[in-house]
Amino acid sequence: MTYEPVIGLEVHVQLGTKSKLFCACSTEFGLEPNLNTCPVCLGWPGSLPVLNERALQLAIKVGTALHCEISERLKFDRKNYFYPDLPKAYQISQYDQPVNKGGFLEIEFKNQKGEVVYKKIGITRAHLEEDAGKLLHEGIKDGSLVDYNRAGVPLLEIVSEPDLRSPDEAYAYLIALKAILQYLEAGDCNMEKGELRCDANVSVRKSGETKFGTKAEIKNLNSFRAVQKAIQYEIERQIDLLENHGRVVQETRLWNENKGQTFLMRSKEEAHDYRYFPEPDLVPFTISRQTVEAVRKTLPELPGERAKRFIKNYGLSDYDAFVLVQEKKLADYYERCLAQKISPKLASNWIQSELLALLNSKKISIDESPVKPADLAGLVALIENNTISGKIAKDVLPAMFETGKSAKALVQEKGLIQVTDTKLIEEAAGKVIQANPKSAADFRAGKMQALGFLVGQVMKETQGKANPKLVNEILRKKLQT
Amino acid sequence: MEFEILKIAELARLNLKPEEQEKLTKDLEAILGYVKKLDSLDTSKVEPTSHVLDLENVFRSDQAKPSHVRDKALEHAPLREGKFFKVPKVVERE
Repeated sequence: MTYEPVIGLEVHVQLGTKSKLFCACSTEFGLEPNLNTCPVCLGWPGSLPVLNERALQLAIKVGTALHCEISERLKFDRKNYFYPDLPKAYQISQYDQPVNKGGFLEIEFKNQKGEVVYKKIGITRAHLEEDAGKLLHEGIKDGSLVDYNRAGVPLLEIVSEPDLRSPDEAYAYLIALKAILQYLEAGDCNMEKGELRCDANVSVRKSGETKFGTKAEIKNLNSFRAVQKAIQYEIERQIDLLENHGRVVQETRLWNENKGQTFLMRSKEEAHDYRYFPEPDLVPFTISRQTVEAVRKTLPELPGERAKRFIKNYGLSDYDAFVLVQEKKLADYYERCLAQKISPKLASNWIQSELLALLNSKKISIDESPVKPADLAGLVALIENNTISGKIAKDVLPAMFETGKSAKALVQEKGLIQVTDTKLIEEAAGKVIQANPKSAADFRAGKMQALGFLVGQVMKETQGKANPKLVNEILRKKLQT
Repeated sequence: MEFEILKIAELARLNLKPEEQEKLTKDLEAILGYVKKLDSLDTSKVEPTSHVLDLENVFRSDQAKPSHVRDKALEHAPLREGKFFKVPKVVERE
C-alpha cells in the first residue's frame, strides 16, 4: 500500500519594527528580563493598545507579495487562554477578518528524478497578532520565571493550504518564504532569536484517496532541517499506525531533536476553547485600494523574478539561479562581481563552490566576506584570460582570504602565472611519457582514462602551472604519433 | 441557561467549591438574563459592528520609547526572582 502525505505549515514571523505591536516598548532582542515592558504589554488595568502603523504596512506588503487578497476592513480579536506567558490572559490576534487571505507562494525543488520542478502552494491567510512572553522552567523547582520582553512583539502568522506533499516540499516552502520576507525587509527571520517559528500539520492518506486523513500538529521545530526531519518521522509513524494499529489520533506532538522523534504533547480533542471575541480596545481599520496599489508599487524584485532574470540574462541553470537568489545578499554579491564584465557562469560556479565552502568553514556570512566582489571578479578574470588555471585559482582564493590581497598581486608574488609556452609543456609531456610507458601504451590501446593520469603527471611536473587544455592537446598529439 | 459553570471554571483555572458553583451559576444566569433583554430589539436593519465608537484607523507611529516601569511592576508582583516575575509551576496538562 502506498500513502500520500498531506502537509500544511503555520509560520510565525516577527515583523521588523522598532516598537511592539500595540505599545512603544522596544523589540530589541537579548536585553535584561522585562526591560521592554510597559502598562500596555503587561496588561495593567486602564491601559489601552494602539496599533503600530508600520506593522500593518509590513503585513500588507507580505500579503501583496504572496498574491493575497488584502482585506478592505479588518479588526482584531481576543483569543482567550489562561497561561502565564500572557499577562492579559488573552492574546490580541485576528480571527475572522485577517489582513491577508487566499494567496500563493511558488516553490522550487528537486523531484525524485532530480529534476527542478515548480509548484504553487496556497496561502490560506496571513494575520497580525502579538507574541507572548517567555517562560523559563529549567532548574527551578518551585515555580516558573517569566520574561515579558517578547510579549506584544508583532508577528505575522502565515498559514499555508495543505498543499505540500513531502518533507522536501515543506523545506522548499520555508526557504522560499524566508527569501521573500528578507527581500521585502519585512523581518530578519533569524530562527535562533525566535524571529521565525514553524508548526507543521501532517497527515497521510492512501494514494488516490481524496479525503484527508487525521492530522497531527508538530511543534518545537527549531530549524528548517528539523521541520523536514520531523515531517519524515511523522509520516512514517502515521503509516505504521494505519498499517498495524488501525488509526491516527488527532493530537499535538513535540519534536525532540536529540532523539529524532515526535512525542505526544496534549490531546487536541478537548481543544482549547479560545472564546474569540472582537477586541473592544481597538477600533476597526479600513485599507483603501489606493493604499494596496501604492504598496504593490513599492515591491522590490522578488527572488522568483530574480532567478528568472538570472537564467535569461546570464545563462545560468535553473538550479544555480535558485541557489544564488535564496539569500538576497548572495545574489547581490554575485551581481556586483558581474559589474567587472566577467563570465556569469564562471562567477556563479566560483561563488557557489569555492567561495561559499570557504565562508561556511569559517562561519562568515557573505556580506562580511574578506574577499570582496571586485576581488573575486579579479580572480575569475585571471582564469578566463588563461593567466592561471582553475587548479591554481583554488589555491589562490584561500590566500586572498587570509591576506586580503588581490588575486593578481598573489599570482605575481608567487610566480603562479600559467604556462602557455608550448615548448615547455612539450618538454614536460615528453618526460612524463617516457617515465610512464605503461600508461602511454594503455592510452594508445584505447584506454582513455590513462590520459587523465598523464595530464595529472604533467601538471605535477609544472607545479600545476601548465594550462590543462594545452597539456591535453599536446599529450594527445605526442601519443598519437 | 446554556453554560456549564465547571467548564468556565476550568478554562479560568479556578477550583470552585460546590456552594460557590451554585452561587456563581445564579450570578451568571442573572447577568446573561439581563443581557438577553437586548434580544427583544429588532436589529434586522442595523449593520453589525465590532465597536461602538464611530472611529477607525487609529495608529501610532513605529517609535520605541522606554517606559521605565519594570522595577515598579516587579515590586507589585506577588512573586519575583531577580528581574523575572515568578509564577507557580505551570505544566501543560496531558
